[in-house]
Amino acid sequence: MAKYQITASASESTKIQANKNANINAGAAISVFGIHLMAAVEKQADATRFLVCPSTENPKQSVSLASILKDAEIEDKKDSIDGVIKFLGFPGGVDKTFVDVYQAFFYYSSSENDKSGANKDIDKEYAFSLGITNEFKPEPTEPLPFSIESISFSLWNSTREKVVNSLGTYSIEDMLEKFN
Amino acid sequence: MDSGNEYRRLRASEDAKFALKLGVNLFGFKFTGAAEKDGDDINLSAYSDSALNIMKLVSAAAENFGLEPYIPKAFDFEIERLRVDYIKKILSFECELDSFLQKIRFSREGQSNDYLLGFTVKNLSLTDIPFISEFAEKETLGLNDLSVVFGTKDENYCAKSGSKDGSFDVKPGLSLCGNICGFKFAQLIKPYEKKVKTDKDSSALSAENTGGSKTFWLDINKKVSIITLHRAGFSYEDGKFGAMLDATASINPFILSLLGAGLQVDMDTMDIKFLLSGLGLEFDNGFLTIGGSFKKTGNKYAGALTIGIKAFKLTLAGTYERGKFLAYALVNANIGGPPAFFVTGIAAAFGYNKRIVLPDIRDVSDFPLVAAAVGKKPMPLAVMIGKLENENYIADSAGDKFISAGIKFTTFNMMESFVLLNVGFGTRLSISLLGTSEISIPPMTDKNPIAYAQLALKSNLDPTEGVFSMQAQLTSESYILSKACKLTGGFAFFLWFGENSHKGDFVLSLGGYHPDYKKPSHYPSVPRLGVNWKISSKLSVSGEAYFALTPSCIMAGVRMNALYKDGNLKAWFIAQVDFMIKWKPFEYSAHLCVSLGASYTLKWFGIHHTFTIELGVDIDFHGPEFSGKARISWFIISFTIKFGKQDQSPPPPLSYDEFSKSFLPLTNKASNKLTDSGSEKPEPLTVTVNGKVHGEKDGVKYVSADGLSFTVVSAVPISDNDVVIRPMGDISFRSEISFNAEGVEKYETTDYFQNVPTAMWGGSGEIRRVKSGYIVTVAEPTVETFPKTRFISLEELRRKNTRIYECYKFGQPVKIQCESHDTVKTFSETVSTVNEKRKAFLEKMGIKPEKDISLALYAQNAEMLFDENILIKE
Repeated sequence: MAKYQITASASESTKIQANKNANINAGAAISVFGIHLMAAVEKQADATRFLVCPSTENPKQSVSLASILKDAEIEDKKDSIDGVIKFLGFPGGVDKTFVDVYQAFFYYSSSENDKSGANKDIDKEYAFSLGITNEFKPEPTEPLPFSIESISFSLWNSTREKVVNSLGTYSIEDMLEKFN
Repeated sequence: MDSGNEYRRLRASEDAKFALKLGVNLFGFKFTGAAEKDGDDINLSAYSDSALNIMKLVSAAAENFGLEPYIPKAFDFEIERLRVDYIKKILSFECELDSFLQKIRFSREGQSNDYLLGFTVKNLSLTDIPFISEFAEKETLGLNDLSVVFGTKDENYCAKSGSKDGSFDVKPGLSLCGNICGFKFAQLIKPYEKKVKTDKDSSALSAENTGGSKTFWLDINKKVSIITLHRAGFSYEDGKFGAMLDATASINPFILSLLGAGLQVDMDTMDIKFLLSGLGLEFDNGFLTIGGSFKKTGNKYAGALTIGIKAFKLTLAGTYERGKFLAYALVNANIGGPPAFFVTGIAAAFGYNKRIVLPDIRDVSDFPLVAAAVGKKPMPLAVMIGKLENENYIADSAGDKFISAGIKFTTFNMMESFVLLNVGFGTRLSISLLGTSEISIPPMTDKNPIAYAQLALKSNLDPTEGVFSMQAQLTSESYILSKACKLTGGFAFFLWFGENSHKGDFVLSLGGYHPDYKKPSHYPSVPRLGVNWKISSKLSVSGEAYFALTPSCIMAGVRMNALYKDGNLKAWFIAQVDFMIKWKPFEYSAHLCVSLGASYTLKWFGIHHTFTIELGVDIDFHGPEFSGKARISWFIISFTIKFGKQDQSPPPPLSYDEFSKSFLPLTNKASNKLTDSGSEKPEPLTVTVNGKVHGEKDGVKYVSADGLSFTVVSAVPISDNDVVIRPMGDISFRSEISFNAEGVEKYETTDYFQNVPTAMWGGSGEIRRVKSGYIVTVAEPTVETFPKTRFISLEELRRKNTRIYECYKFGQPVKIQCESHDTVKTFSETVSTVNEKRKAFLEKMGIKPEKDISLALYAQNAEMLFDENILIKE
């Protein structure tokens, strides 16, 4: 039950030239559970490109689980979900547990090499990085037996430096630097 | 990627990557775990984000579960860093502690056996001493990053994270490294030797019970100037960590020995205690030898004493610990004898509650009772004590004893030998022989003989296990002409009998087995007889041979190999012959190969090409029927000549007649009789009678039925299920034994099981221990009470003396003490009192007298009836 809210749309330049294929460019800024994203599609001559990426300069965006439940209009199940979340090791429940989207990037490009369309060059890149953070701070004198501080997961197939650097996880080699 | 008529190409990498990171909080301590996929590798890592106090962690966990555990104070220390990871197939563990032991690191590479284990102790600063602190800075004067590292290859060991001073390059083996007053050192103490793993591989580390705590000893045998380090030991108990050394210092003519000298650190209080288990002092000026050594560890005492004048030398050594002791005596003297057997020493040993653990053939020269007697120089007493305490060879064993006798002799002054015969008894009997022989040319020289060979001998008879073995093997010290010309080889004879599962099997091998022979796991591995000579860096020559005989086949072979390699030029000569003959069913095969050739690799602007010229002949033949092929290789042409029938079917299975004559016992073996035709006849049944022979008539022995039993054993397994005969092409059968007894009222039968060779018999699966017969025991006859109706002859009485009622039993003569006073008077006064006893006795015997018998009148007139005293038992 995702709620889509189109906040802006643009079709700024659409130009048709005589004896040429039409060029198309369309873009949209969308918000999914409070996560702001931007999408664009472009067709020029024999090439088609599609892009989804964060609309903010800093790709990291956080939203509490409670907020997601509210957006998803399932607040009536908050108590039961709160119990499950606490059982899983997040003692702050849905109010103190945040979902972090470090990166949501998808790029698709295809171009035809000949008129028959039999040969195509396809370029596909993606990077998704999500995290769950526990903001609950127990009393120092009463440590909890077990709690999850944070989980992050990334899946990517891109070599763009800015995209890779924005991922919420670090490579193990990077983490080992602190031991050297 | 081709999909139909559409060609598509993915420009981005097809390797998707993922990473997962998890941070958890466990009882107030933070840990992080991470996993990632990088190419084909999956990397894993876990570490602690903060310093860990084990005591606090365990206490918090226990408190959470409502427990109050006792945690030793030794665990009250902080782990500053803890890390476990598996990166690029390398598993490593690293732990940095806030204690005397500062760092532990272990790493192992994938599936290989390469690993590294290192320990670093806390920095020791000499500036803590008041006077010295006035003159030196704390950082410069001390022993820093002291580490003990054991690795199997060249590696870098980092004793301190983020510090180049604490980084050491270590060689394969055991190394000691550190930083003394700014000078870095990494000393290899014992190089790592890769060898085939055997049961004895744990001998490098020996555990010694020292009064309740275990000390693990590591053999070093490293000489540094006048000091020889023999072994290092480590112990940990009750929060106390100990490190100690056995070492000797030679200051001619004295040898001073320190045993178990070292330090013990109380991890709780950091108190340091000096240790010294024993001390030894020897004096040897060539004319007079005198010395003694004593050691006490816990409740264990060990000592040695030596005294000698000129060539005569007596050495006594022993260990004692609560009912267990070992005594050893060695006399070195020119006792005499013919030149071929000139005795130069004798040795004896006795162990009580001890047993000998036989070493592997390669370690015979390390066996304490052998090592103490051989060698060009006498073994220091302290070392002798240490070897006698090594439980890997002489183990504590309640109820076991052993006695050993050894003799040391020379042969024509060229060969020096020592053999030791050991007899173990107590809980089990074993007889073994261990020894070594050394030959050098010129004889008895220490200065580079042109030939030297050392042979280790081992023989063992173990009736309990059912194994007899004899082994001999050249040690790695053997060479001829040059130390680069190594001699190798071994001999083995094994025979299995009794209750051993391989009963009836044997093997004789000189130099190993045929390359295609699948050696059964219980057969010993025997190194090739051979010579391996690396004449120069360019030329090497080797030759080897073998011969082996087993119950099913015979094999032999020889190989010669010469190789010349100079840069891109290579030339070789190889000649090899192998043959193997199997019987039952009969089959043979042979392989001959000769190759002579040369090659040159041309490298020109990155282009490589090898030109080869070779003449080779490779012949394989087998049979029956005789067939094979020969391949001729010449550098421009090669071809194969085939002869005989190429499509060989497996040899036909044996007929029953062939099988029974080959594998079943023959008549004359079973009964010492020949059949009418005079030929041997298969007889699968063997009957063994156990009983008392009481007569013989016409050459036939008669056996008493009393206590009679006999065992009927069939060489053919008895089974209700199908049993197959392997040599007959897995033909199946079922067998049974029927037994009839005549004239015997009662008897019992018990199934008899025995091991059978799996190569001969099979079932639905492999069969080994199967029913093979019966043990028939004649039941004890019914006790015959007092016979009233017949006469019992004296002969019958003698024969059945244990079966007729006890009153007829012929027993051993019993000496009875009789009264010595006036027994006639005693008889008169007491005879009337036995009436009741006699009456009860007769009733018990089933006799009812028609009237009571009275001895009253007899007693009244006793004085007149007896002239002398009568015998009455006291």
